[in-house]
Amino acid sequence: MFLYRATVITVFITLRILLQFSGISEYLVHQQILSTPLTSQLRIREALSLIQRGQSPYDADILHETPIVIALLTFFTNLSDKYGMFILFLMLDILTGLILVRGIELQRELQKKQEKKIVNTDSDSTIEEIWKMLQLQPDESWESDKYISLYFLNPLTLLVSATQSSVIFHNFIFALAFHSSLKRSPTTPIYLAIATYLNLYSIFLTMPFILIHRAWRKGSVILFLSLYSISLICLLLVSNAVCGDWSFVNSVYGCLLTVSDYTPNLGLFWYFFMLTFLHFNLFFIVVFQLIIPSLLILLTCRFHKDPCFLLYTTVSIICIFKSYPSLGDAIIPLLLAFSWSHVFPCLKQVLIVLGLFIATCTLLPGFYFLWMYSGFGNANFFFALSLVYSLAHLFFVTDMIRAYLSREKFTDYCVTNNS
Amino acid sequence: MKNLTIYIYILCLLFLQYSYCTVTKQRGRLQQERLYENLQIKALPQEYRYFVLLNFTSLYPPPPTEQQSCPLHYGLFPRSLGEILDKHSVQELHLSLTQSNWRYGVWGGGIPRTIGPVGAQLVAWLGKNKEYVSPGETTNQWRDLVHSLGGMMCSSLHEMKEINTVLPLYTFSPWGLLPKNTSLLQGTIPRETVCTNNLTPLVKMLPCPSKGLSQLLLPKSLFNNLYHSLSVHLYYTEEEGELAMRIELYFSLVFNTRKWERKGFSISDLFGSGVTSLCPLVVREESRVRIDLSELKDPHLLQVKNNKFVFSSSPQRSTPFYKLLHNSTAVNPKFKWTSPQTEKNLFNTQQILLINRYTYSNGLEDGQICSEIKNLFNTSLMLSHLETVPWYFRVYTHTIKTRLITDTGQILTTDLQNHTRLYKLQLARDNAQPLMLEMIHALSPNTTLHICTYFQRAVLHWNSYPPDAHHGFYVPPIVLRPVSFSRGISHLLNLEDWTPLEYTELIYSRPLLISLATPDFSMPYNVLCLVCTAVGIGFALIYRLSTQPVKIGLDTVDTGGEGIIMRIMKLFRKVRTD
Repeated sequence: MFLYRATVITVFITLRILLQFSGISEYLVHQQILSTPLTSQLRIREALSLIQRGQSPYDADILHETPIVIALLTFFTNLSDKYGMFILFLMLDILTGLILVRGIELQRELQKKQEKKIVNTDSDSTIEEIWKMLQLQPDESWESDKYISLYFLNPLTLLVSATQSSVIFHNFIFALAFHSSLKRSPTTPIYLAIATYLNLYSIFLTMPFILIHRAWRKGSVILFLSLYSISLICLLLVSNAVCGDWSFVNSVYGCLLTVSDYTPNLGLFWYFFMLTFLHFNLFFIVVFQLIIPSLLILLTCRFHKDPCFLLYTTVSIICIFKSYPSLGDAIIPLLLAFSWSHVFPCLKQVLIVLGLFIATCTLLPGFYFLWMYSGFGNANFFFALSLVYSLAHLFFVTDMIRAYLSREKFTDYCVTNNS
Repeated sequence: MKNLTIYIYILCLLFLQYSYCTVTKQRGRLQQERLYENLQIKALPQEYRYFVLLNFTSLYPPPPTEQQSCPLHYGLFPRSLGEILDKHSVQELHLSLTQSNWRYGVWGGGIPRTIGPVGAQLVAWLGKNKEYVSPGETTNQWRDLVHSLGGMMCSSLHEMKEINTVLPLYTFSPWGLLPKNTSLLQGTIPRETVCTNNLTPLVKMLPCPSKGLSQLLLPKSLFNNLYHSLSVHLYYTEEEGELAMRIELYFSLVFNTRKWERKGFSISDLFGSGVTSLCPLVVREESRVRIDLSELKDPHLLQVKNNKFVFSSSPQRSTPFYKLLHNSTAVNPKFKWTSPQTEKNLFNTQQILLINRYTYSNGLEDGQICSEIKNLFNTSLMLSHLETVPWYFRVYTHTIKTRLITDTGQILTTDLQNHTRLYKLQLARDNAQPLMLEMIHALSPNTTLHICTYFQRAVLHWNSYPPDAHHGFYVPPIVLRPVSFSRGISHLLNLEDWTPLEYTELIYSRPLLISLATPDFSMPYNVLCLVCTAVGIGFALIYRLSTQPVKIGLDTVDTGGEGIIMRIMKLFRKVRTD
């Protein structure tokens, strides 16, 4: 097992180093489509050079990165001009994978316990019999090694790692929060605060994390929330101290909330806000930013008993409806989906979703090329593909929800009728 | 006779004004208006090309301001201009409207102060005397100024918004006297075309619109040539110890005279009409016709003939002039080559600064902006370099790469620090301000400096695109100014004890035209519908799943084999019978 993990990680590192030194990574860094304006590596480099010149990087509208990340990266580039940042990002990528997989392992154990609770029986044989009958037997073959390879041998991870966008920081912090909440560690709110600080949309993750937290320690919600808000305020104060003023708030969160940069990305927002009439702009910004919380309320009502699944759905929905989604945001929802692999037999739209994913992945670069380089296509080509990409994600999440619910129902139904 | 009555009438008015007004004078005001008209013809170092410059300079007492509680009386001063100057507290103003590039490489340096960048450029010093004006107020003043001036000049100066206006520190220097606390703003519109409607308001500014050299200002000839630049310069000067406002109007034209190759040409041939009478207001002793043959190796080859005298310049004095006296035919010299113009080495070799600017890219996503600055002087040069890039070309300043190359192609250095100091860097703000770079270069003789930067192209809101979005967007020209010839390159290292010099000639590059990726402009409603449908589908699916109980039919689960389906059917029946 250890040998397998070591091999997979070595392969990942080798590929990553190959990408770095063959110049492909540098090429990918310059592709606007692989990273959003909020996380682009080029913009971080610009900020670092501005700091070196003694100018505040927030004087320009180029930078939308948080001050603490910039300070951290300044430190690492000072250590080694050439390799500091590369090593940091590589380490973060590897740690994210390992921590995430450890979290998933913990979640699987929790899932098993919960299923037993639903069935309300101590004998494993009864459940297994029902599951066998329905062919809904949890796939035991989904061990942690599979998750390890799913993360490290995923071309998406490699691509995002090569672009060195700062979404890697957010993924790492999310992995830490996920792992610590399942390990019942009290540090969860702190990690969550950091995640919120890095990406404002993570504020919606407080709901599933509070529910996970409440499941094992009742009555400490206030403690959780106060620790969360205190850490968030501390982070903002530290950033203020780093920058010297509050100008970063507008640069970091303003762009994310008001969608002021129309650089093409994989989301629903850019083309929409580029083409809305200016006097409707504010209205649509409010409406679009309210999609995630309204969906979150619905899902919380439904899944408050299984916060882990709520967490998965929330992460997926954020990945679809955030204002600047990138490929890097899709890594975690896809990996988490596989931790619910036992509901896969109940999926109904596998063919549609798979087809959509394959179609978008193959056509996206082509259509982008047609628009930007060859001039044979226009913006609609790429927009259509980004819309389909979002829809594919959406269909997948809803199908997962439906599969989860019907599996639950089946089990429930069979148990009540068997006993 | 009629002119004389007007003149007397004006003088009476002036007298009345000064007897009424009690103006607090710090420095004496110029009491008498003065007007000069100059015509300058220069043989350019290219066959058949002549540079003709019409210059109308007038000196006025400073125009009245609204604070003075006396009836506003402008005299000969153009009132429309006077009101604009007062309202927006303009201390100095330079406006140029130019069509086509000045070809430094072929035409040389031209005549100082007369060359403008392509399109419209406005440089103005704003601010009230000794009064502090906040930057916000200055921007407001500028906005009002460009609107009023644009209206007056019939050009789209109002497009000089915040996104293409900069406040350079070093590159421009005033021509005249400036009070304290003024701020300099520069705006450029490379796209602006110059045509007849810009000429009319300029002619109206002249006290003598139909006499003297202004008779030459005919649109047909003025706008039908290789290069034309109309410019207005307004500034305060001290004339004989008295404060005066000086207005200079320049009409710089480059003519191609190939069609008069055989028989020679005169000024009236060039303009299609001659000067029939002179302006009575002009100070004739100081109004001149000047002929500049300094670019020719042998000035005797070009014969300049007047009906009174035959003029042939001597090598000692290559820019002769004669005074514009009472005779209007003096304004019509004839030019004829004594030998055919075939030899290439007719002209002196140039000592100039060449600047080339280009962009290269693959597609609409990103690209490189490059400039080449070539020093063809025999001496070392220090240059101030102003570069303005609109925000939608996101320039990454950390990617600036430089190379200093000698004539022979040998690379001297690639390190920016060795020859360049960044003087001021103003970063770009989306929809608000352009990126502005002011640098100082040190160039040794006969070297070329290459500067390249990487940029990414932003995508704009569809309302921000001009009607012909696919035409592309302009990057304003670079402005270069040789700042010091005397000091050595070593002085570059301590810029602190370095004081701005008086005016030196500005050199403009050509502007760049770069395309941006565009959305499909016919799509707004379609996109609205499509995105809202996608969001609606998502919301509806999740809403239904989370509010309604899930129905499990048999088809819900892929049960794999018939046996299991049967077993579930049995189970189902059992439930029903129960």
